[in-house]
Amino acid sequence: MNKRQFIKTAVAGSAILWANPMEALSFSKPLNGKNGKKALILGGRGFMGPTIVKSFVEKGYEVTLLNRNQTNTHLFKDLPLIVCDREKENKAGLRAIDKAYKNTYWDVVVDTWQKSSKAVLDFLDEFKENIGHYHYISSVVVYDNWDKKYIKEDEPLNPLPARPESIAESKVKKHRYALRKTFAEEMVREQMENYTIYRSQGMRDFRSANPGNITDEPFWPIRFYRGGEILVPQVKDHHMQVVDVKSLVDFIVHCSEQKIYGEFNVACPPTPFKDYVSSLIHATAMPEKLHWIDGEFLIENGLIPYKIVPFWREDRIAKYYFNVQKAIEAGFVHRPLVDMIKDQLEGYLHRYPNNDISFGKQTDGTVKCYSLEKEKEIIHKWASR
Amino acid sequence: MNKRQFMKTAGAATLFTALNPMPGLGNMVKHSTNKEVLILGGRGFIGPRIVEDFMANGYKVTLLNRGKTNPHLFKELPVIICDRETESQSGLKRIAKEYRAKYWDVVVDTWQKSPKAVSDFLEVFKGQFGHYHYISTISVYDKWNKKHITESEPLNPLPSFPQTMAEEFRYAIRKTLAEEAIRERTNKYTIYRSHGMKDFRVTRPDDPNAEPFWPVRFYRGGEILVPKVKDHHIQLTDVPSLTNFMVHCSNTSTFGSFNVAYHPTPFKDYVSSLVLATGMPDRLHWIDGEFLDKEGLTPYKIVPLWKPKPEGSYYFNVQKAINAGLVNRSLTEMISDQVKGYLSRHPNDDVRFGTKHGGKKLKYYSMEKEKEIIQKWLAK
Repeated sequence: MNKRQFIKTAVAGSAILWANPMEALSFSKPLNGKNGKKALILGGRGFMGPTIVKSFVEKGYEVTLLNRNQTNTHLFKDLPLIVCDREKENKAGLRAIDKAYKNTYWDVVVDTWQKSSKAVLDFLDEFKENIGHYHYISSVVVYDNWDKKYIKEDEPLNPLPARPESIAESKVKKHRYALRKTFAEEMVREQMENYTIYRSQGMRDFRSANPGNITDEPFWPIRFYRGGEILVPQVKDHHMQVVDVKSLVDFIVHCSEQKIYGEFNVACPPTPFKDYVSSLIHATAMPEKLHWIDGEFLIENGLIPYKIVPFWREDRIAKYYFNVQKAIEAGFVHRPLVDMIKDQLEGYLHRYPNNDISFGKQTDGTVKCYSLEKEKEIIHKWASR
Repeated sequence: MNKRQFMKTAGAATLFTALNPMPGLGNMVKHSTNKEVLILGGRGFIGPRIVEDFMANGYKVTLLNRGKTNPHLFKELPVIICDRETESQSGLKRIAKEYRAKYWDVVVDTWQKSPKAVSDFLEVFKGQFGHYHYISTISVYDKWNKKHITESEPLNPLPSFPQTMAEEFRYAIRKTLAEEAIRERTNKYTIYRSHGMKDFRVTRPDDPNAEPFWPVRFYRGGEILVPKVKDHHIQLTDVPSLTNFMVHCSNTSTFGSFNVAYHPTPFKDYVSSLVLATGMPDRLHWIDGEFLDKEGLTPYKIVPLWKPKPEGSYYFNVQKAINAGLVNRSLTEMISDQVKGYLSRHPNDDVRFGTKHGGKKLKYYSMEKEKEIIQKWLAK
């Protein structure tokens, strides 16, 4: 059985469609009839948006989207859409929204916005009287100190500079990602009582956050899909942690149904890297050989943790060790890693049907992970020590 | 590459030696702590791992046992020969005089048979030890009807404490009574509530029923039946991870009671680790759980590591131990050890689950039954 066949067999065994998953996502039906509740999804067509939309539709929510109608406009044509640019100064975009929508009571609002914290505030300022339960996708980057393991939800957040008074002041160039998310969280807490904040850790899905940019293509799943002799770091107590978007979205729906409020770290439990390798193999096939190579040797040879080798970090020890017990007790269930990896691979093969991206040095001079040639060279060096 | 070859390669690639799980201990000692540890038992099931880990961390180890189980192990270590399960503390009293002036920084007790034997040791050697470690079990919790049970949940209601060794109780009660005896007699204890301990060794090396079903099944390869059940999780305790944690608690004077196990793990992730540890099978047949149940593959009773009831069975909260420093090895390493242990006991891989063996039917289900059910499922 070759790799391609293997994946097909594996996928046929799962509930996922191979041919055109985009299509599968763009038409959703309630599984058990409607529940009479309205959900407003801000965005809804990029990265994790479609997964959110699909899950709420399937649960019986009447879903409306709010976005600029610029990203993936072919998706969810059957759903009502409020066309709005929420990133205009002085709420100009939000104020232009039709009155009928402004007077609608939304049982659920889901916001994933990360680019401007002021845009999050502006939306709440305009709509908060008519929102039942507000959900915000945040990130573990909101925590100030990453110098210890098992960080819980009550750890101190990043200290914040002066509050942005305009969209421009809160945008990418002014505030780094961690500050944008921390500001947004603060604004949510100030404006809403019934909120749930999901502090995610490295979201993974069929879709990539930046389609067309190989930076977001999943290195390890692709590497294992290609097979052959594979280099893997041998490091004591090496753990990794990510969050599967489908599991996260199921939890958002669960929190909506159960009216669960508060902040939650949301990720799989810290997982031994070797168990992640097991799941990579289960999702693809047994490689010809695994070369477990001492981490120090890899570093000496330029395979730097994190910067070059994903899911391996020596500094900032909090990184792959966030405490997710609170979410688990509230009902969060992380899917098997193998299912997440299969989804990532299908997405990759959908974007690159010829499996033809190259990691390592890119034409623009940037470096993304390492090439197959570099890997081979280091394996050889290791074996001939 | 056939299975046997694969295992060899996999074994070589990991840090383990294939045949002898007790490699040259002398080389492993990091530094001497000058601390003395008394291991009660030390030669059966998890005993050797405990001894090995304390030695590797520079402790001076003494064993206490009857000298009957695996007497070939640890011949270089001092052994106090003693049967602690004699009535009226007579076994312990017999040695008490000789060791009257002795002080052990650490005592490790794994005893499960008589809680009276646990309290007897604590009484006879009162004041002669620092940190007392006891391997307990999640069976001490009264109710398993909810998920994510933490250490503060109520324990089994108890009968009055036994006055003699002869009084018999079921396992859960024996362990709960022992825990209670410990808490009444010392503050400096650590209690490890384990959950299905797995290792190279098994609890009863001569009993094929003690061999690990899933690792053996995946080692054999071919077409494998696996239950497809929504949100199916499993939970186990890896013995070397537990014993490392024990040494860590000794080194850091960490006291209290801890649930010690892996996080609740999706069964499918466990299957991934079985695959890496043994090789990719020809095919996995994920078969609906209800169908299996109807066909006689009853959860837990017949199919191990599948236990829908009680609901909390595979969902014990282990965060407290993890925060205190428990690091679980990868599941793959645990499974590799289990398979190697099985092959050391049964080099011909000839344990046939679900078939008659010496007049008794072995646990679980046979390869024939598996094949039959796969066919039935495919023909649906």
